[in-house]
Amino acid sequence: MKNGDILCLGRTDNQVKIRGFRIEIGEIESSLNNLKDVVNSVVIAKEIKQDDIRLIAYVKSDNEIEFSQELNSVHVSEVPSLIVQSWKNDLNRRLPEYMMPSYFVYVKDFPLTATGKTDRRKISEIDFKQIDRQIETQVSIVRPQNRESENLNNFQKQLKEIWEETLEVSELSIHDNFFECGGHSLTAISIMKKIENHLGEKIPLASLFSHPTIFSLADFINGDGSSKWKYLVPIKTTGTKPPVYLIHGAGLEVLVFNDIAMYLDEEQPIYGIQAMGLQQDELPENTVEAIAAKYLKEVIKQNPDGPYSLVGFSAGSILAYEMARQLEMSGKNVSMLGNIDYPVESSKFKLATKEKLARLIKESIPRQVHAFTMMIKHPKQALEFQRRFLKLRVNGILSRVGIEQEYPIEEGLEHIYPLMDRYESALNAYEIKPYNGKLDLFKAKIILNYVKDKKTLGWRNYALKGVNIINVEGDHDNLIIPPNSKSFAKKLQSVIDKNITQYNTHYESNTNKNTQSTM
Amino acid sequence: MNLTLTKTHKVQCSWMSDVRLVDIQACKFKEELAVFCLQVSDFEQNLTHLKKLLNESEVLKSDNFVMEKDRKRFIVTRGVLKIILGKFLNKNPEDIEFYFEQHLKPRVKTQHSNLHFNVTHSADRIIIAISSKPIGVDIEHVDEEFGFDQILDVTFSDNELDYIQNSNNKSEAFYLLWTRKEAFLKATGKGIDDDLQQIPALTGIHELVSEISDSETPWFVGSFGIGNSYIASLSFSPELLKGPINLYSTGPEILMV
Repeated sequence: MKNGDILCLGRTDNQVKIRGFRIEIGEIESSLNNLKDVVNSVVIAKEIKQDDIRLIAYVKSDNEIEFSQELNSVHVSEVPSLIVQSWKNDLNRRLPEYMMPSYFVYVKDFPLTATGKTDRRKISEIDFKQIDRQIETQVSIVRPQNRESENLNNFQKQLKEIWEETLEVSELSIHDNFFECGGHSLTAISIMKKIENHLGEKIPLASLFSHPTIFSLADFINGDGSSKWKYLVPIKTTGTKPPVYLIHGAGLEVLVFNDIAMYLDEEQPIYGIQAMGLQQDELPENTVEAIAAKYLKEVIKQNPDGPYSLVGFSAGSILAYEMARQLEMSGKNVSMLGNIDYPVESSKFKLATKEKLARLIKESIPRQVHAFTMMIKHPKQALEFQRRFLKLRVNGILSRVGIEQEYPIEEGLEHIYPLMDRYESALNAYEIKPYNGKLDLFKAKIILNYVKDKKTLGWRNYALKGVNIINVEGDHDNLIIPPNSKSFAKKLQSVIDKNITQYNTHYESNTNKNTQSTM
Repeated sequence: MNLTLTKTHKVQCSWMSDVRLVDIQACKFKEELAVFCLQVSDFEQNLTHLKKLLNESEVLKSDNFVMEKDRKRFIVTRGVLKIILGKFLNKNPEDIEFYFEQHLKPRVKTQHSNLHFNVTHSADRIIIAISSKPIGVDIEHVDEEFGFDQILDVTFSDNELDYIQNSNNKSEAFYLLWTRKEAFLKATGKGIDDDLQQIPALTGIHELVSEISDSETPWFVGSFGIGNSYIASLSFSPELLKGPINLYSTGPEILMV
């Protein structure tokens, strides 16, 4: 250390060959290090079972991580699948598929050799199979023991059908490689054409070559949400349950749902619906009916058969209501219509004022307004941002409750105002019609004074099959953010589940009257 | 496509009437252009032997195929390819190794940088083309059942669509043009992508802006039939077009030659 010359003089282990591909370990590491929340990384090629060599990425991150495990005197922890997913989306643009690590492990600090270099040997000797839960599930995802046990989301199922039909193979795994299933370029074009017909949107042909499994292709197409959906924001696409759709409120964006998304069930896929004009330069429709129809087009494309669980946040409850009506009228199955604390009285449509938004933003994100608007345009990064933002808010804002402070609203937000005006006038003009279904009303325990029908906030006159009241902590402004987000999410999940069970029972008793008598 | 580029190169597409079937014994394995044609089913008894020529990762790859027919086809293709390349390079087939160029075009690892090869298969047929210059080959079984109507618009230009629609045998016309595009893309190493409609395929000479392939070298794309139900196209430098194209049809005797 005295001469300070500890430069790494090249390693023999930084080039490996896996399945005939020459892998540049250094290239993978530098791509990883480029990720915004990665400080440093070490990638190890390891034979996890005979003839099966996998790349394992050990990552030191500035994310807040709890290290509960110590293996080979290194503190390790699972990288949550959502983070892995977002990393992979990013890495996909820099690395060919064969250089994508199979597993990602957080490391508190890398072990050092006597000379102060990263001790790769010590890292490579970590028995990574012992790393808790997440790794195990990743292993089973990568090499499913039993193909029938794969949990597919809807889009993966649709892709699987297209692949099986075109390749004339049955029982594909979503991790089977296209080229290992007898696929070639002619079938590639066929498949991409069918996907294009299915989505109504062109997907670059080359994406099948760089993402040759159903899993990676679905991930690529979904991950590239910017081009695929205008309103639908995939917050979490994995899980075996039917998806829930959370419809934006007065703020127009869906970042507000990230707090509760963290606490919903692991098997619960979640989609946000953001306002028209956010993703793309377009003027929102001027009626609630037309807006709802636009949203539904994407929802149905994503999930053609239902059932549909819709939850509107605040003023978004009106949009959710109209969506549910339209679904119901077209014969689709709405398993749930949720309303987050929004009354039916028309006077309340005025909630979406500029002043209100300005105040909300000022209160919640003092110095990050610019970043905030960027996130609206790039919902993919929202999760990471939200995590940091949450910390900021808990540390800073809540302790300042009651203290008025002026922050200038940055110019970046101005494009939202005309959108809000359109939404406000559409909501004001909306003539609410009865809905032939039940409504689940999540009602803040702290009720705002000017509601006449304190019990159902006016909804009993419209939801023909009744209003189910769920009382939730907090007031209208904080019921889905900390400290109330966790308890809210628990209640929301249980209502979603109850409705799905009822839907299934109903569905099954209609198709087979002898079953489900105990439900 | 940016049409402001003025660099162009010529691509000639045509039928090749002077393709002749030649016995494998006549092959010197020194030719500037040699095309080998085989049938997977001929090698049913030789799979174990051929598999021994594969390295670990190739064996792993063969085991990863979902369907048996693909596994067999891969073993035959890779095994015979290694035998043929071994003969061209005076090496043992087991010692032949590959690496991937840009766009993942496979090349053989050797000091002789001017040994190029390209491989294609369809149904039971395999073609291996070897050349001293970049080469591309594609074979397709003319499959009347394949719903090619679906993909016509993403694959062909308006003129090409007209040609197919006005042909007596639409599937043959489709596969003819398809194999030409595919062979050309494989020769240039670019691989298949969204430029398909721009790739020349109709019989005749085409001027091509050089963005599609990086060099200004001209290309010849020649087609021929194999048996009654296969169409193949080869794409290579017109310099190699010196006489008839030799098509070496071989069964397991390649293991003994």
